[in-house]
Amino acid sequence: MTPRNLGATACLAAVSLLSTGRLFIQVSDFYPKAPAVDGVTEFDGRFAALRSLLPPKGIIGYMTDAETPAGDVNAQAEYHLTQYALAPVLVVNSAHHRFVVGNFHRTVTAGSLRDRGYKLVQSFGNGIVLLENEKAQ
Amino acid sequence: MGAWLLLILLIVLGFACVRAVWPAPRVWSAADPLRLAGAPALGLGIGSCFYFALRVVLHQPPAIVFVALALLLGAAGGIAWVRSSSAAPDAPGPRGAVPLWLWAVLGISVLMALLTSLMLSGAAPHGEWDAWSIWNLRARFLFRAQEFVSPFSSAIEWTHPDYPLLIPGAVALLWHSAGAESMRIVAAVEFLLLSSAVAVPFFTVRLLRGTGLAILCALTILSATSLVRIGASLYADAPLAAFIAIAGCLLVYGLETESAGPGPLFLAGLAAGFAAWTKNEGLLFCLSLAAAQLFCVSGFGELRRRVRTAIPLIAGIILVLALVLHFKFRLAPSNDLVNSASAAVIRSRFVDFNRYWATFWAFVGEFLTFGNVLVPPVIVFSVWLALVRLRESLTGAALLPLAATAIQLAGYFAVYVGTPNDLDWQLNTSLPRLLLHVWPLAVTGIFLISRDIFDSSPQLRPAVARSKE
Repeated sequence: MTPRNLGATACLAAVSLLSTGRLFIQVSDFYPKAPAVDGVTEFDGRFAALRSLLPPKGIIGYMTDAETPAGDVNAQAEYHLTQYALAPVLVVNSAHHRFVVGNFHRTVTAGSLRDRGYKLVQSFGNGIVLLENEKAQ
Repeated sequence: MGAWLLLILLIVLGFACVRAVWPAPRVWSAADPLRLAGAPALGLGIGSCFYFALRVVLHQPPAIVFVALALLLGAAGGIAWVRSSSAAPDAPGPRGAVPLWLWAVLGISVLMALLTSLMLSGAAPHGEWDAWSIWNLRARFLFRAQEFVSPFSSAIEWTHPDYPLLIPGAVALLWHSAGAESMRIVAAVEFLLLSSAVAVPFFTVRLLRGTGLAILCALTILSATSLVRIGASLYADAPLAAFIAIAGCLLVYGLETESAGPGPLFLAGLAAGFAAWTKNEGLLFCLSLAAAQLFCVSGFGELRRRVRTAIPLIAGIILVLALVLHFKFRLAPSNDLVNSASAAVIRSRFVDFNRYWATFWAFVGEFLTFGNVLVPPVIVFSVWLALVRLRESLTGAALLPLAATAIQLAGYFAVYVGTPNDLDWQLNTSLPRLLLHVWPLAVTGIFLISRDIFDSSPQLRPAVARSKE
């Protein structure tokens, strides 16, 4: 192989090795610090009891804290994760369904929900509740 | 345990189908590493198609899907066995001296990519946002549902119910065999497909141009570390890149090695069809590949040969495309990019020069920062080709991967110009992933046109030899 070709080969090999090496080092640095249970698995687990109560098909509403600003990325992620946890039941981001899953980060009382027209069917802890919309009956 | 066993059987099924369509003698043959490299992807594609047809369309229980796949495995194995007795041996690849250190660099790069992938999968077993909000969610719907209307309901339009089902179907099939959802099996599916995206170009270039260039091809594909990261994130972009690479590589191999018969061409079509069954962008790739197959001709005789060889390619595409179109027209709601505007609105976007300008600069920017490669690939390839030069005997087939890549990118450009979504948002969130789709194929194209610098003793392939006469 001529020095020119050897140089071309070495350049390509070096770029590849350094690129893969850089990501490897970044991930090796981050991996030991990653939580033992990832966020999605943890979120999924919070909905396990509720899922076992739901029928194998149907539509259910969804509500979260009233103060959540529209377009909040975390709130959107939690709604998507709720659908992920409760599939194959369809979770629609609207409280106008007979049954509504509540995912609250702030304390809500049965009384305050009743004032808004929702009866608490069951609380599953960690802010997860199943509500019945009395207006939708 | 059942899922792992089925996964192995799907790889065997893929290999048996490849051997049945593209036969070789019973003993290990020169092109068998290439066949084996594509087998996991093709086996998963076939499994997913059977699952969709029998479970989702015909509402059969999963056991029927397993029986059908077992019958296909038996039939494919039998055909492969019978055809192997009369099959001609594969044309061997060129041999050349490859420095040991280059093998060592490849080994280290592959090991680092493998460990990186394992660590990323371990840290986020459900993958990143699109994985759990689209692909794994759809797999859960298919696995858990007792009916197949809800998964494609427009009530959850944000899950893109029109997206095709290769990955969710294959994953649901494997979960059924285990009787439970396992994210490790999802990671294994992604890893196998990602491996095909590197291994198929490697073995194709090895057979057509020699081991040295093949190692450099694999190293260059791995240098775009975004491919590894996106694959470990369980997105469908890495599997799509794999099917695009398999289709392009088998097509070039089939055209440059006529003694292989129509088998590789049919398999190339099948892989292109599986690309369409993986993501909507794969539909565009079916057109790009067919167009590139006809455009890259170097004379009238070549054109006639291309038209003739297009038949098995198109037959392979149509076989899978029929399923994709059934899904699109019978089950899925229409796509958000095409259903949200009238023809007049779409036309107005295409006459807006600013949209072309913004898209152009986004492409330029992405080319310069693409894939987290340490040095922009544009510069890497320019320096490489300036130093080693192009091959002297360039056939149209060798140009095909780059032509298909260019047509695909032109298609992406047009889709961006006409998108109903906010253009900046669309470009920022999807362009890096879209360019990854064609990365392994484009890299293969670069090494197919590069001059051999490893002193390989060329064994001219029949098609090349004929064109030189």
